Amino acid sequence: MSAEALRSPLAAARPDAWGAWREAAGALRGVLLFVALAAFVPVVFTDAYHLRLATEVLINALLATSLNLLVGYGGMVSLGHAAFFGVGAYTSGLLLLRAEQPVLVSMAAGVVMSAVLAWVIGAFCVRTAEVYFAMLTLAFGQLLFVVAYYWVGLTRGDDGLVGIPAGRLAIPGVARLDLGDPVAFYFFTLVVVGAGMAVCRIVVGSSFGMSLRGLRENRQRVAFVGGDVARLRLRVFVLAGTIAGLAGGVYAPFQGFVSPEILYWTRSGEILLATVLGGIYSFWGPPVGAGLMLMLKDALLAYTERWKLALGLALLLIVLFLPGGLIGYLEAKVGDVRQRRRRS
Amino acid sequence: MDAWFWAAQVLNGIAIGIILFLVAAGLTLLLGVMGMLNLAHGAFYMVGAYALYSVFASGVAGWYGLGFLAVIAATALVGALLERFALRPLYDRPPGYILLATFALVLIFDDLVLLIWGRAYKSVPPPAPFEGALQLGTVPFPAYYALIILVGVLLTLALWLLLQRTAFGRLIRALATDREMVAALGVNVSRSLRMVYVLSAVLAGIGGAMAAPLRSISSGMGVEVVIQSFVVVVIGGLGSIWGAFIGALILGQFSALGILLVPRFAVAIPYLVLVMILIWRPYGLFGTRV
Repeated sequence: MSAEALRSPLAAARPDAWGAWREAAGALRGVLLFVALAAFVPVVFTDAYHLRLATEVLINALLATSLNLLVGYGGMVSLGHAAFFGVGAYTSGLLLLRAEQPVLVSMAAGVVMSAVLAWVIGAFCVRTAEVYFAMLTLAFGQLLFVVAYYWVGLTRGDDGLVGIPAGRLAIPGVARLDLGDPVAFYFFTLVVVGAGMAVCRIVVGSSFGMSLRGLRENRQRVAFVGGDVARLRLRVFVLAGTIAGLAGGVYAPFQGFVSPEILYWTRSGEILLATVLGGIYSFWGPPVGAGLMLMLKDALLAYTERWKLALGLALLLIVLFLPGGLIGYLEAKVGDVRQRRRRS
Repeated sequence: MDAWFWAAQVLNGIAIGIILFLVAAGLTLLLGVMGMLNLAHGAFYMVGAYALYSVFASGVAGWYGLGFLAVIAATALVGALLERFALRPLYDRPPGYILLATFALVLIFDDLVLLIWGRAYKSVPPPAPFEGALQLGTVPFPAYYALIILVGVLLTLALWLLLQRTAFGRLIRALATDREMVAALGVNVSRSLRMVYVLSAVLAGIGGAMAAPLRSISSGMGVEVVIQSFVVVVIGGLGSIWGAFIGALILGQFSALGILLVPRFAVAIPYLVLVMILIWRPYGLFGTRV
């Protein structure tokens, strides 16, 4: 048997530095295309209402992508993901509102806070798996919800933080951008979300991403070939929580309002639903699912007060009749067409 | 505060716990037999409470007894329909799909009860003979709590007999162990699964009806209780019905104490208990590593 065969398959999957760089650049093509396409949205929809909807779609897309790292790639079904989004939103909202910090500083603080919390909570959660994991993430998420709800002195409780300013971006003496303008905020969000998506895409394509898929398929085997399962799981948990915190950090100045509701477990359920509807086995499924779900909700709200009923029915039908999620369904269709062409 | 006071507190906790057990027993049955994480389980609790309210509001004599029959009929029917049309098509798919379908059902039911019963909070009194208070040593104790404990214990015994001493119970336990083997022996598995689902729905419905006089009946009640019952199930260890029983009693005690000592943070207690127990035993009190 050659020495090559004796090396850990995980080590074999690890490319050299130049290879990694080239791989990352290749992987980013999709993200760049996404950002380029999204940059045309303000040209098509010039009214503030649709721009705001598009901004929220971007934020939810990033949130769903971060959850997909856990669920789709790592095989860890979290029911508490909204908590990290909420922590990012509350941190950035509080700093903008009470300390009048610049928006980037506030967001950075939100990201750091959610990363730290994800690390602490993750350290407990990754010791469990499957339903226990889902329940423990849910319990921690609910604990954070209770903190946001009852620590009235800090969070104003059920009333929420009202009147969070959108803030300014300023490079002293060079440029100044008032984010109160919907178009400016849309592009600001697009840059942040694009950066977040790029990080996720690079991670997914890296050897770490490969190990993650291994975790999803068979944890024992990953351990057997020399992977440190607990550490891998903790790392992806922290990463997903951090990116969710980034999404939350933009959400607070965007919405101007943060309430404990954004941490409640049903929010986590909604994100999870959007993620799976889009199709968890693909990178672009969850963001598309999250975007479509938000637009569906928006459209339903325009027609009926009973949007939950309508959304629930729509989602149930999709779950029943489109097993691979929307993207999975499209992929299968495209595959069919290609096959037919090849045959003819 | 003397010993009687604390005894009343413990009994309060048992009453809370036993209702939680009725809801959690169904959840743990579904988990153990089908591996189903039924987020919509709270819907039956809610339907049970609303059904009891409807019978009460109609003003018939003997509304409590009739109400219970209505609760059983309504939850059995709703359970059977949901199982047939929303869940059975998903049995062969990865378990995540059922989770999502049940979450969609949560959304649907939250709005559906508003559509049927309106937005206003509803309330139901305890049945007439149990409206007052008993004297427990030196402290008064609500008679309705005594009724809950009595009925709850009887139902728990009935459930124990059903699972341990009847052919149906044997079948349920066999299904939990090896479904394929049971099918190979010629049992109609899909019918049995439907019966397990209906049983769990009725248990949750009865739990909701029993809890109804203690609380306001509203659209969010299902979402609240399903989380608490999940906590119970996980504390006890998945699929272990006696684990769920112990878990429910533990959580009942902590809740009663919490309401007494730290009323503002009482909502956080189930989660704190869960976190502490899972940090100590990652697979619950009676669970085995999955």
